Formats: sequence, structure tokens, C-alpha cells
Amino acid sequence: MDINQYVYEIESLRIEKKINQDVFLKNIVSDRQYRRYLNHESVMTLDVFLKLLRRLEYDITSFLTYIEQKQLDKKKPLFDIRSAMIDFDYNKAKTLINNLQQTTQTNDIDAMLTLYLKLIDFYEKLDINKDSDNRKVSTFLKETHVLDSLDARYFSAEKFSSINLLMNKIFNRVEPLHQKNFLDFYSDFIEGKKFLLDGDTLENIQMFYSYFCAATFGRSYISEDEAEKGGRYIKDAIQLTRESLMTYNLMALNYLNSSMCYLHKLNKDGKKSLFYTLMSVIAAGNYQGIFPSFKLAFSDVISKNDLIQDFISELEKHLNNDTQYYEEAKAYNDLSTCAG
Amino acid sequence: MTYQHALVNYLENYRRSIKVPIDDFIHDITSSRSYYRYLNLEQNIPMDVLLKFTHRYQFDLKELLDYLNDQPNIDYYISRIIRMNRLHRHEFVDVYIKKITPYISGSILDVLHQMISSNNRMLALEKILDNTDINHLITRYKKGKDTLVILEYFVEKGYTLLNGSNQEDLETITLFLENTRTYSNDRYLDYPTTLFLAHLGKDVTQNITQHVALHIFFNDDVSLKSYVKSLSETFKLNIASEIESIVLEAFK
Repeated sequence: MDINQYVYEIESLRIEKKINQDVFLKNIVSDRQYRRYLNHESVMTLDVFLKLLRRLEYDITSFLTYIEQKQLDKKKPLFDIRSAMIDFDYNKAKTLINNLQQTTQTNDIDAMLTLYLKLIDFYEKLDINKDSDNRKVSTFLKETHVLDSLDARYFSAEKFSSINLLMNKIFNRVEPLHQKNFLDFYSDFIEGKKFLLDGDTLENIQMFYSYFCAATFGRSYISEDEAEKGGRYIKDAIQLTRESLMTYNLMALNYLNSSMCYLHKLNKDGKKSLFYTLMSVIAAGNYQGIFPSFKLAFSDVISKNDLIQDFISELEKHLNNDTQYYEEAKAYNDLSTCAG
Repeated sequence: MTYQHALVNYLENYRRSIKVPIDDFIHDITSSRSYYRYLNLEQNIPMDVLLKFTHRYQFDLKELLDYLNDQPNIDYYISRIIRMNRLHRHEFVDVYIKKITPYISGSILDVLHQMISSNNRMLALEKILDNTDINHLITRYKKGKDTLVILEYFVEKGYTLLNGSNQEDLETITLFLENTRTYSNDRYLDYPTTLFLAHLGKDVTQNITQHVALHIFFNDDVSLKSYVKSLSETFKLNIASEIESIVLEAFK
């Protein structure tokens, strides 16, 4: 949204509130100057903008939230596309992108849609030939410049989400060196070397932890130190979910903990975390869309029958005893002796 | 420090951090003469120039101005205080109150302290929001005012209506929450909304399992054992078997 639209919204709110224009402008700006703003002949300064907002009983946060509310319908298609991408429903994503491209979009959105189409195209062209797939990965990285984009210090939530989406989709296919790039990228946010400029601060911290842990345990080899750090961060991050109440992070963190525990024969913790992973998938709402990826992911560490048996026995335990999630999570093993 | 002062400091600190010369930094945004005038506080930054900076360097204007304002988002923290009080996560309540104490009036602080001692969130919300007519609040929400506190009020109000006779108000609140949660990342909203829908007699066969799953993570006081027992009795559902079938179906 540009400044002309802000002026337009301010004027609409003034009319809606039935405030006389002279009263509204008194001691802030002249009537003539205000008309020049409305006719786009002059540009309002920040000072005048904030004073007029105050007169409308808005502060900057509530005003921009109001604008965002009005724009919510326009954002819905982007939200739907991202959900389809996350759920691996590429056909749906392609249809939604094509529909959206029929209408005029900003350059940023156009760039994002192009990036998503490239990602879908990359996935559709993958086969089981490791050498040719590796070539496709490096072409994809070059074309999208995703690694260069990790170097910035400040990120918008939109940009950060796009990087996460890409990381999730390509991480297991890139070379260890580039995997480390992603790992450092998330670690920098946790350590305050990089910053996200919008979004909910609490949810952001939670995301950094989740993605760091996912990237750590997503690697084919990790050192003992890395395993210990990842395990510790998982427990810290789970405790943070008490505050942020985010189901996607709950499932990601519990899955990571569960799979690591099963992998290293810590079956008691693995079983507990498995139960919480599957319950957090159900908690997220769209479990039909999400379960297939967990089915695939768990197949690396536990057989289908054992998984079902473990889940049912944990469910029974919860229905017969007064267990508490955060108490159990606090007691998880930190995997410190389980280098990959 | 004024907004203008803080803003130019922010821009300059950012420019230095990314090690970009001024000419490159302002290229196609403003002239170097004007930029120096902004730096010297001789001229206010026009909004279009500010928006060009935020656009090019991907600052979010709201966050940037909040940051410059050096004030926490009061609506956010008050809503969190109410929610965490409802969830009995008292350690967060204390932290949040401490964070906003310098920025809120003594009367609001009193209201929050009274709420903590009496555990009466409805009374606190009525005092904070002043006018709690449901339709008025919906309009206020759409105008972007006190949005998060209004959501907490609706959740709280919904709970008080569960065993009463005013189904019309419960229906209005539930419809509003149902619509809002669709666009929200805040999955907590699913938790009360499903319960309200169930009390209104809507088909929540699928949602009730989601509600129970959320209960594990969002409620530290009532165990899953007790909650499933009471819900199963109220709604005549075999929730445990529903959960089991979902997992069996997914992993068969």
C-alpha cells in the first residue's frame, strides 16, 4: 500500500467518524495542504500522519492492523498457495498460482510465485538417478539464488517464510556444505546475529529453534556436540511452546525428538514423543494432509506395526493415568551420547 | 527522542551494518541533499520516502514504527496476560505484566492485579474494553482496534454462556471466532471454538478429536484422562476410539 492509500483511509475514517474537517485538521495542517495530500499533489510527512491518526484515536499499530484486516481477503490466495506447497499438493498449488497470475500483482508477489513454480518444476523433474538429481539441485540453487539470500541481516516474515519453505523442500538434497549454510542461518537468529522485522516475536523465536533442530537432525552425519546442542535446543524449544502455543512447532519438535530417540534405541522417550507428535498433528486440524509425510518420515526409524502399537499403548497410559505433557517433555533424554 | 530522530538513526545504523555507501543506499529513493536534511533533522521524512525505504530493505512498517516507538504492543501483552491466566501459566503472566507496567495507566494495572487475585477475567475484560456489546466489539475488531483483547473477551464470554440460556450470543461469538480462526495462525482459537460449536449442537465429530489433542498441550491442569471422560459423557462420543481410528487409518 502506498501513501496515497493511507491518506485515503484517513479521510474515510474521518468521514465515518463524522469529524468536521476544520476540527480534524486544526493545529496540524492547513485545509489547503490537506487537500493537496488528497489530490496527490503533495506527500504527507510522518509527523502529520501520526498526528492525524492520533486525532482519529488510532496509533500506528492499530491503524496498520485495520488496513491489514481490510486486505486480508486479498492475502488469502497466497496463504492457500503456501498451505498447498507445505502439504505437497503441487497440482493444487499450480492451479492457485495460475489463477493468481491472471490478475495484476506486485513485483514481490510475482517474484514469489515464480519461485514457487520453479520449486514445483524442480520436484516434478526429480527422478531416482542420484547424479542427475544432484545436477538439478545445483541448477535450482543457482537459478533461485537462495544461498545468497541467507547472507542478509534483516529479513521480512514473507522472505523468511519463503526461505523456510525452500529449505524444507530441498534440505535433504543439497550438499553437506550448503546444509551447514542453512544451519548457521537459523543459529544466527537464535544468537541474535540476524533479525526478523515483522511477525510475532515469540512465534519467531519458536520458529528459529524448530528450524535449527530440523536442520541439525536432517543431516546425514552430525557430531556428538551437534547432537547434544540439537537435543538441548529441542527441550528448550518445547518449553517455549508453553508460551507460543504453536501446533506446527509442537509436531516438528516432537517428531524430531521421537525419531532421534528411536534411532538411538531410547524407546521410552521415542514412544512418548511419538504419541505427542501424532496428537499435535491431529491438533493442527488438517491431519489428513499432514499424516502422509509423517508416515514416510517415521518409516525410517520404526515399523508401521510397532508405531501403531506404541501409539495405542501411550494413549491407554494417558487415559488411565494423570500424565502431563510438559513434565514428560522436560524429562526427555538430551541425546548427548548419541552422535549420528 | 522524536520519531523522526529515531527513524533516521535506525536507517543510518542499518545502512552502516550492511556497509552500503549513502549514494547506493538512497539510490532511486531520495536525493543525497534531502537525505542529509533528514539526518540533520532539518526536514521531516515524507511518508512516500519512508515507504520506499521499508519496501527496498524489507522492513515491516508497523514493526519498524513500533520499534521506534520503543513501546511494547499493549494489546498483545494484555491479551496474553488474560490467556495465560486462563491457562494457569502464571510465570508468563508475571513476566508480561512487568514488561508493560511502565507503559500502562495505574488503573489498568490495578485491573490486572485484581484479575490475578480474584481470577475474574470477565470483570477485568469489561473494565479494559469499556463497551462490551458483542456487535460493537465485532465492529471495533474490524477497525483493527484492540483486536487481540477482543478475541480473549469472546473466548471468555463464550465459556460463561456454555451453560446458560443465551444461545443467540453464543452463536454470534462462535460464528465470529470460527471465521477469525480460519485466517489466523493462532491455533489456540480452535480449542474454545470447537467446544462452543459442540455446545451449539453443531457436528464436531472430526473437530472434537482436534479439540482433545489441543487440550494436551494447552491445559496443564486437567489431565487428558479426566477431560476425555467428561467430554465423552457430555457429548455421548467415544473419543478415545475416534483418535485410535484416525491413527490406524493414517498408518494402515
